[in-house]
Amino acid sequence: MSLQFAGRVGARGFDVELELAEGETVAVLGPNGAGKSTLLGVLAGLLRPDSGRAVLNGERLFDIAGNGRGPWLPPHRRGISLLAQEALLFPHLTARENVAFGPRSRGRGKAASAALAEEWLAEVDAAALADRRPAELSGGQAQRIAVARALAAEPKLLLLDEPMAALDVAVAPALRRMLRRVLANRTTLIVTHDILDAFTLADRVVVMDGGRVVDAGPTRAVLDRPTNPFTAGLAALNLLTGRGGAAGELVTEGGLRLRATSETPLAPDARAAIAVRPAFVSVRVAPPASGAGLQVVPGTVLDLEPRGDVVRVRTELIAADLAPGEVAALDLAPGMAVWCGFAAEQALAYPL
Amino acid sequence: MAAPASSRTAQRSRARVLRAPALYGGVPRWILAVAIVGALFVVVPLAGMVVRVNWGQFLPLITSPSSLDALWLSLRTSLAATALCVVLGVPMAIVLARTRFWGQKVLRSLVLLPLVLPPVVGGIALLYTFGRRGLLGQSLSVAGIDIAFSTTAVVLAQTFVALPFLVLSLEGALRTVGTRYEAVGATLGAAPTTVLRRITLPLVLPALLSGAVLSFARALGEFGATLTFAGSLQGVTRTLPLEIYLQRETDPDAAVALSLVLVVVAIVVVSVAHQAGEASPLRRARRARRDARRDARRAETAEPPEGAPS
Repeated sequence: MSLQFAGRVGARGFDVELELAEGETVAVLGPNGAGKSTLLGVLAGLLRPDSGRAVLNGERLFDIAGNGRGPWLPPHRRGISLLAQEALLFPHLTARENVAFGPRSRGRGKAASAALAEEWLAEVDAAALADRRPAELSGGQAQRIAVARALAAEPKLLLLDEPMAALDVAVAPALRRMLRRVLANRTTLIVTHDILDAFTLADRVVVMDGGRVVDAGPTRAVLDRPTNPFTAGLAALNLLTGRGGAAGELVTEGGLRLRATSETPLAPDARAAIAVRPAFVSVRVAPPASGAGLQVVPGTVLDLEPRGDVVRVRTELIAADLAPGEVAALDLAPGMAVWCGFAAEQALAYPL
Repeated sequence: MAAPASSRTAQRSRARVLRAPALYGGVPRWILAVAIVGALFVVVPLAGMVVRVNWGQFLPLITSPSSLDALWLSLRTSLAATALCVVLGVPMAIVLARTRFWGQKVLRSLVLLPLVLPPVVGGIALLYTFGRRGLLGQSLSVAGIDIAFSTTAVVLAQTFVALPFLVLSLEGALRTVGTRYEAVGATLGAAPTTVLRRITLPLVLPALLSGAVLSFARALGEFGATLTFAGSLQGVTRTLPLEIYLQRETDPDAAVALSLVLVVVAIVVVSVAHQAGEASPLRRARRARRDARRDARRAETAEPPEGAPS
């Protein structure tokens, strides 16, 4: 294990344990206030935990007992670089001097640091910007140079705090591609609330809520088969929970019997779930004829939320994404009784 | 890459040529009238003094031996006091802005006290500290060091009254800059002293300069504390303000001429301090970011796709 971490910050209700393997990229997902930034602050040494212990590559970062005392390494001795939402390039230095800052601070010579800076600038396709000041750079360019600066410091662990959040949507994909290239085989913790980041960059995800880890595992396993409503929400999936029925179907708490594809048949009476994308859910205003192969979830429309080119129709148990035209044709309004349906082939059933 | 950049500068210079459209200000007329009275109150006395200048004798008056002695002494001591303010004031400002400890508010008030204290009182305090029979002066006197009524005393008196100017302006700048850049520097492996030298101080350099200039101006104008603590000995402790005060009795023309010299120095100092404040890298960055945001979309699309070799 490259990083073992356990930390508690009482004032923020933060209590997290975490491990990272050498060369692994882990995404930390969660809503605002989940404690993601606290996690990065404690790791980087910008925030002192009330108690906890962390070891990086065999070196102790902190080991603080319950009484708040114990060894604690200051940030500059940890070998952990932090890249924030904003590039925060030093405004009085050129791009090259910014990137050379880490090597210089670690005692490298001026020429060697400048050469290293050139290398990293080339790595992020910013060699042509070397002599510019941060004020003369666009947001995307500045963030690329901030990546180069963080990597030039040769960190043992790289922390990324929503590196794409402050960028134009047009620029983010290119930065994401670049990150995927430079983060390969680098021990990295990336905080994000965009699951696209998790899918493209991370080997593993950790889902946080209210200062605690609520879910963790390989990216696909966690996000394709959410075990709690919170992760399901992040992954934009409907989650229907219940127990296995006699014939391999799912029986919800409300007594609905639903079928879905599953790798192994659901064990009778064991807790299980079905995940289905809102886009695969259709809505009817009259009960559909039985035997159509459709899994039906009756409910009442709670609200209609326009989301770009679709409208999300929420009912008690399930949500559906419909085209605005469909919503108009069905004349949907909150309070209406509806029957939501999905095909068994387009939903995934799995044990919990 | 070159095209959008040059068009951006072209746009900016065009904006500077065009006059900004008149916006509704909402200032009552009587406010304007009172403001004009206030401005006149400051400007007319200066004019009154300039009118009284004996231009024919101006050069001889300000180059008389006693005038030159006073001018030279004032410049030397004010520069020394400014240096002392920087040496002592920078750490004080950093401690006040960046740390938290019990009694910090009280300490800040005490440090800023010379700002509101009558300078004569400051001089008395210094006299009973560094004077021959003062708190520290006694031991210093035993060691053969006599500070009171020496040029050193002038520098100490000036530093005493000028220090708060530097601490105040630097502390404000440190708070404005914030600790985010310093945190980034630390995570890149820079020790606290490196962060201070390569990040913090460059970022607050304009405030440090303007604070130093203000301190210099305050030191140059110091009168009460100097007279009380250092006396008025030509070439040793008689600075320009003391010289002006003395000359007023015997040779009003000389007093007016020397006053004009101080006014000119003051105007230069104020404009230098103002310039330094405008040159802040943070302020420049913020201004540039504002411009960039305005035509961000255009720049982003005109530039080769992010990630492609440029």
